[in-house]
Amino acid sequence: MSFRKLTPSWRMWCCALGVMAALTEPAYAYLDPVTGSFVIQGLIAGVMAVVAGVRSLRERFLGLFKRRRKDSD
Amino acid sequence: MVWRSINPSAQSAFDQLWDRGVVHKLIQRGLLIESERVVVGASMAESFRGPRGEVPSIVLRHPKVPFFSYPYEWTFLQLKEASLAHLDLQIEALDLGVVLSDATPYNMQPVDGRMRLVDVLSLRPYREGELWAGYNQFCRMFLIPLLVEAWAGMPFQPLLRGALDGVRLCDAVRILPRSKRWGTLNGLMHLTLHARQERAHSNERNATINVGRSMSRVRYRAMLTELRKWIEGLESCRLRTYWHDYAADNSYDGESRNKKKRFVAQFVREHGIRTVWDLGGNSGDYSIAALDAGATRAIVLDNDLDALEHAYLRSRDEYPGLLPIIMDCTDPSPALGWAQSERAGLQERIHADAVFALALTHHVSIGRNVPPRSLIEWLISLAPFGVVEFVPKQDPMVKRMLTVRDDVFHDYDEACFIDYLSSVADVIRIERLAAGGRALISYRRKA
Repeated sequence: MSFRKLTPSWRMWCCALGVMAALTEPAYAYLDPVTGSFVIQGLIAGVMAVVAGVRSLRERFLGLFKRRRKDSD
Repeated sequence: MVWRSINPSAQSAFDQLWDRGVVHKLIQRGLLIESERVVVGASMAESFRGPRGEVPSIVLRHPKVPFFSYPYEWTFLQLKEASLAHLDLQIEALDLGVVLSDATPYNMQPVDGRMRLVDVLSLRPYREGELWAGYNQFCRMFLIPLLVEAWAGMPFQPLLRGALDGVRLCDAVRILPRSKRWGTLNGLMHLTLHARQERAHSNERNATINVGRSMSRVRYRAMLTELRKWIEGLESCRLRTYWHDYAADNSYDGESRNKKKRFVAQFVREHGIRTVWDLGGNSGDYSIAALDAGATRAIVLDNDLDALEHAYLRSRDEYPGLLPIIMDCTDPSPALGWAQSERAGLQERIHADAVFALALTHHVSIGRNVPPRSLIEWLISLAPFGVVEFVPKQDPMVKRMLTVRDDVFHDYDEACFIDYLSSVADVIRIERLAAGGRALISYRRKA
């Protein structure tokens, strides 16, 4: 079964598994557990930045749509 | 007033914040406690000498928080408000080029009806590209406790009381539902992947440290704003408690309730009561009667989470002087932390003019087997004045309690109770709510 034929939620799971596989390499260090938080933060922040960007675009688009509807009323 | 000295090593960073007006802006936004900068003169220097002999040139002066409470004494909505206030402050601060060096709810306190940061010295200048140092701590101490109640329906307070450092990610993933941790983007990122990374990097034994990562300010801000959006939408899914509708469904009729409110109001006015501790205060009806009669502060202590949430909503919407605190009178918060002095026990924090123990005696003496004399001695030790409501064995609530247990409470009657009370306090006034029923007793501790 190809990746494209998967449903969106399955695609997300596959991506997550791929990311986890890529990230669970040793970091060449014994440190307290906070290191893991620093390591993953870049990825999480990147995803959140995309989500925030999409949200912002959506709000602007919806705002534009509401303004046009108000003008036509 | 509270005085805080600034270590010489932190002076330069703090000066930058102060000179740029960051502290002032955050105070104006209601996110930071009032702070005044005081120059230390020669006469004051010795009082501020530090453990290494250093003397600060500047100290900060803050108003004292009237009652310092801890996150394991807060309801879900209180911790949620603290989380949102913390993130709002972080976002505002980041826009001003400043970050917090930690992320702990112990630095947030309800002041004048809203949660504010009380540790000004946690603020420091932002360094371009830096990661969020407090991210793991934020997850352990704010996010996971909220999720424990929002996703697993479990009260988080015992977890925080048992672990001052918060709930570890590796433990959280075992109690939080898998469907949420994998099925939502936030759960997948902040919990599942985060926990795996934490475990992976705590297992290594080699000495080389390699954490050469950086993060842009845009991404940093996005993390904060998206977390805020997520937390804003969280709601508790805990089961309703037994006493959640006590204010509406109890054994009082309307006239008895009004009589109680009048008694409390008169007591507050006659004795100039300013601060009240309302033990077993449920949703705060009688605390509000005290506030309406002139008291400035009423702390409602109860162990019913739903009743306290209701009290919290009232404090947020109408009564900023009302503060709900989760407390089991028979198991009050102990002293915790280093040398058992980091987090004070309940009795070390009390500065009340009066206590109310309304509809409480039967729960403590019969429900929890505390002898009435011991209960009275404890009440007297808390404040110089008080109002206690004695609930007799003929009361429907007590009858119900005694149907499932033997009546071994030989000294639990009104005459004995008043006798015990009179040995340690002067009884001011007694009023009966109904014939042969509950009795309201006001008293003043003997000198």
